[in-house]
Amino acid sequence: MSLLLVPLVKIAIILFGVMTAAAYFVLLERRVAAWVQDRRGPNRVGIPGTNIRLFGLGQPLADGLKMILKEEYTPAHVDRGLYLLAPLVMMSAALAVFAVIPCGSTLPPIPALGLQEPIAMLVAPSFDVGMIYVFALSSIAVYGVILGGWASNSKYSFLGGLRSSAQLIAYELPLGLGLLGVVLATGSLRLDAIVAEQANTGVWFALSQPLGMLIFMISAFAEAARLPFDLPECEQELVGGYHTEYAGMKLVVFLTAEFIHMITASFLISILFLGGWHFWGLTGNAETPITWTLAAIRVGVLFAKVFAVIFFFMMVRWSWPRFRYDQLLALAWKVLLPLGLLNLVVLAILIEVQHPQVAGGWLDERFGAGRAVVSWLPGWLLLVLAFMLVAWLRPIMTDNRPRTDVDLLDSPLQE
Amino acid sequence: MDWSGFLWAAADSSELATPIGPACACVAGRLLVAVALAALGLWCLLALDSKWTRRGGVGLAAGGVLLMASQLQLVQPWGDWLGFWLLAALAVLPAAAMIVSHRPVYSAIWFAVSLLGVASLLLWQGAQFLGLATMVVYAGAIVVTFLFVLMLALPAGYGRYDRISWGKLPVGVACLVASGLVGLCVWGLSPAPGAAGESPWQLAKPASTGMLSEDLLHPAHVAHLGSHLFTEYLLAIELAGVLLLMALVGAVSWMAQAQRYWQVPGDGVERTDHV
Repeated sequence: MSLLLVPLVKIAIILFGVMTAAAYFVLLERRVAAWVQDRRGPNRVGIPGTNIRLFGLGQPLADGLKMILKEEYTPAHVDRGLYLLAPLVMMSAALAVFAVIPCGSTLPPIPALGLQEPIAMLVAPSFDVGMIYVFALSSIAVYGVILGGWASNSKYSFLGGLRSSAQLIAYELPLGLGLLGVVLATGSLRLDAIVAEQANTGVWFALSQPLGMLIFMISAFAEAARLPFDLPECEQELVGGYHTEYAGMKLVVFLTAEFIHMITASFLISILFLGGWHFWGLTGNAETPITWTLAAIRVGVLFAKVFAVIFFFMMVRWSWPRFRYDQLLALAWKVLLPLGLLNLVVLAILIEVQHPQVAGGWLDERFGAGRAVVSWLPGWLLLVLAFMLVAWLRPIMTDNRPRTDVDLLDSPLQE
Repeated sequence: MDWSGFLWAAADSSELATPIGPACACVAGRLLVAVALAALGLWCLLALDSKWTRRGGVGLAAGGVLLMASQLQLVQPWGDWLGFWLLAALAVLPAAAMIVSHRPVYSAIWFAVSLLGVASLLLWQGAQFLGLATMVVYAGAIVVTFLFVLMLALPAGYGRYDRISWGKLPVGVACLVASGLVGLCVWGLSPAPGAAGESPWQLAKPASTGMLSEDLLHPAHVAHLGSHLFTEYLLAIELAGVLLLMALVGAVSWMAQAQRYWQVPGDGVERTDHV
């Protein structure tokens, strides 16, 4: 019975936690925005009926209530079935990702409840292809965008849907390439195994693969449609995106799904590159026997990292201007994709060379304790090289002057 | 409960041709009626187009499917049994909906749902990598490309005359074959009345699949799969890689040729903007 009950309890905790976190991160985002722009932000809504403000902690509840009470307006010209389906697809895909994302390491066994084994803080612990699952679901999320744009039956929504789906598809490739270096170094697609590898060696992948992390992070920003990649939010220039024709709760579902994508991205960045629950001298490594204190510390460390990455997302929002659409796609195809391939090839060679049977033993003899530094160094050199290559080749420099030199009527493409 | 034998039973047509258990003649007769009903329903949906034939077709096909479902016998443990047949229905029924949909975009969506059903069946059998690869490659890439093309080319769908199949005889044969295959699967996978409690897929499992199912259910599933692919099937993998690379080079060279039309001879101005 506990075979079924334990996952259900975990799913309930995660759904509740993620939805609440999404609501309160919206409040945090507004407060951070206000702080950056030297305003106060929403700070008034506290306990209803009293004058207690509680730093505006009641704001998400009030916002949710307002959204629920809003008129559920559906334009007459839409394709109703798909118009309803689109936000549902997007939301389910965004939430289902959390089945493979660990929220800590493990809990000690609870014999009182009949649980004799340590409990993994993960809904699907025996799932061996966790990272592919994340990618499969992010490719399902594209359906929400395409269908939302198409079902709205409006030119602005349709073009917005095409823009956003092309963006999501384009950035999935560098996202995967940035990740592959980590998978190569770990030899597993499981997120808990990746964290255990970082905890055991004590070297976070951010230190040994900085270029991979940069590529992954930029692509994760684009996948989550955060600034500087948030074209659907351009009301003035592009008349919004795929959700222009949506209102009320359906719009909120779209926006919440995008917010959850940001939370997922922060979890992934923390787990893949920032060591997950590991912190030097504080959490032990994967072999340390688990106690309640240790489990709590690990959860605290992981959540602190996730929180820091989310704060970084919010600061980026107020620090960079938005990309124009062609620049956005050129960045994916002409910069991040080649750099991702370069990163993968160099890392594959490095990992092979440092294998004990090739040059690993020699490196150990020669450098001893400094070995860790020696094995990071190529990664950082690669980062510098990548920076200089991009600066030299300028792959996304564009010339915006109108072309007057081409006679379009002579071109065979005009047929 | 080892479900992987199921996969082999379904994949291996020679297994299906020789019935697995001595299913009694009355079951076979009822399944034949069910197949005929389902085929007739599909034919009405595909080859005729009026409101009443469509409704009748839906009714007939649903009747056939229900009749087939009534021939399934409950096998312990019922959780596994129910899960398998629900997922199988999730793979087969959307496929039928895909071929009878009049609107191309809905067809593509039903296709994607059917692929999700297939992926979940593979996951159910323990083939984790294969299931998710189906999801990423087919549902995530190929059907999305279909959707792009359909939406750009046919915002309003075909004309009415294009929405039905005109070749009534080939349509009939295809409907019969499709529902016959489904009926054959139902027949092959329902246990013989005498051997109650014996699961047919265990009987159906060829002796050689023992090692493979061990690999499928191994905890380090992907590592095992990878070592098989890159030792026993290395040549096939490399050939597939070369083929994909050729396709990529072809696409790039095609674009480069298209780009040439836009260049002005003797202009001398280097342009980097997009065409």
